[in-house]
Amino acid sequence: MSDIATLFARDPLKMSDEDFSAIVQKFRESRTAFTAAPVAKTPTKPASGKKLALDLDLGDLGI
Amino acid sequence: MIEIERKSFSNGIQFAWDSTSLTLAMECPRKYYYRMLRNIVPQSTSVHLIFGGIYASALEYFYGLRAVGADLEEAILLTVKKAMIDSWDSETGQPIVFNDAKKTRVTLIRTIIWYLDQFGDEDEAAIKTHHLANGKAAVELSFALELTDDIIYCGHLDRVVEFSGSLYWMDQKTTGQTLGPYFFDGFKMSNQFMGYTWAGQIMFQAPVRGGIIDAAQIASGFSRFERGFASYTREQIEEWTKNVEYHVKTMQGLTALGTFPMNLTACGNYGGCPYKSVCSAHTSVREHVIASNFVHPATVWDPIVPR
Repeated sequence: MSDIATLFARDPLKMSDEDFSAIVQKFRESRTAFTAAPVAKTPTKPASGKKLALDLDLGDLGI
Repeated sequence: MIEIERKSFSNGIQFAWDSTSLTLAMECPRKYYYRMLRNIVPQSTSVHLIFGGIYASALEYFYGLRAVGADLEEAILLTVKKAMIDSWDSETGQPIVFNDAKKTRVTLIRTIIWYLDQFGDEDEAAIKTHHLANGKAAVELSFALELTDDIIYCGHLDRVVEFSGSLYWMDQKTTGQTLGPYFFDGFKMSNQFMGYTWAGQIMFQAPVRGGIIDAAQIASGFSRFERGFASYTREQIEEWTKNVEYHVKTMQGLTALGTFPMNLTACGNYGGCPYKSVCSAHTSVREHVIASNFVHPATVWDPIVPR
């Protein structure tokens, strides 16, 4: 099975259903691996003690 | 005044509005002028718009397929194929350039697949696509409704669903930020979502309570999803319509006068106004800045035209 980089370099109009199935499978495998990995503790406060910025990036919200 | 052929305008004044044009007018009259009247956008499209646009289009496509009875796996495969094509530049024969550390073509496809694996089979969540009286699935619904006698409010509902005995619109958002209550709080005062709720209540003659927002956090190594709700009382929606009327009429008045003041408090919002380079330049060189850094988009933004 081709790796993700190879699949993503191809013209999708020339790819087969098997190619797209391979992409779906690869990402499902990565999701399984991610879900199974131990969750790292994330800090609840910035180390600097400064307040977090309140402005939301509207573009970042996909709006 | 520059005249561009658009159905949402009459004698150079916009009468058909949507959340995009309304928000522009509310943020800054000058920004509204550049985007809606001059019809200019930065040469390089925001990666967030590219990523979010293909993502939203993919999910809309998926639910459209499921609404006509496509098998889950078949719908996922076709959706991935569409997203791969939509993120490919056939002119250059290369993938579209995303130019971002988190929002890339790979993370886009990954996010779509992970989302559909988590939410695509809706039986567990007891959500189902609503069907219209004519039997058609309530997906990809463009609307243009009278807000007042002389203002039309337009939009596009990706999907309307039934959940716990009520109707809700559904929408999706992508962000590089960590998801949490603060993220969803930001949508409590949303023109887009209040407009959806208002439109949904008129179109369906049923109590559309509000909406369900599926948010996706995009990180380099993972995508994570949260589902949130946005609900509004009838009084809040009524207040919103008055608010819209005020801002639309204000902008129409400014347009008739040909005067577009800047709102200097908005220049830094949302990562910086895309027209900041124009407004901050000396007045004598602004047209040069526009000619060098801005283009007319391939399609004109015309709210009343259905998608």
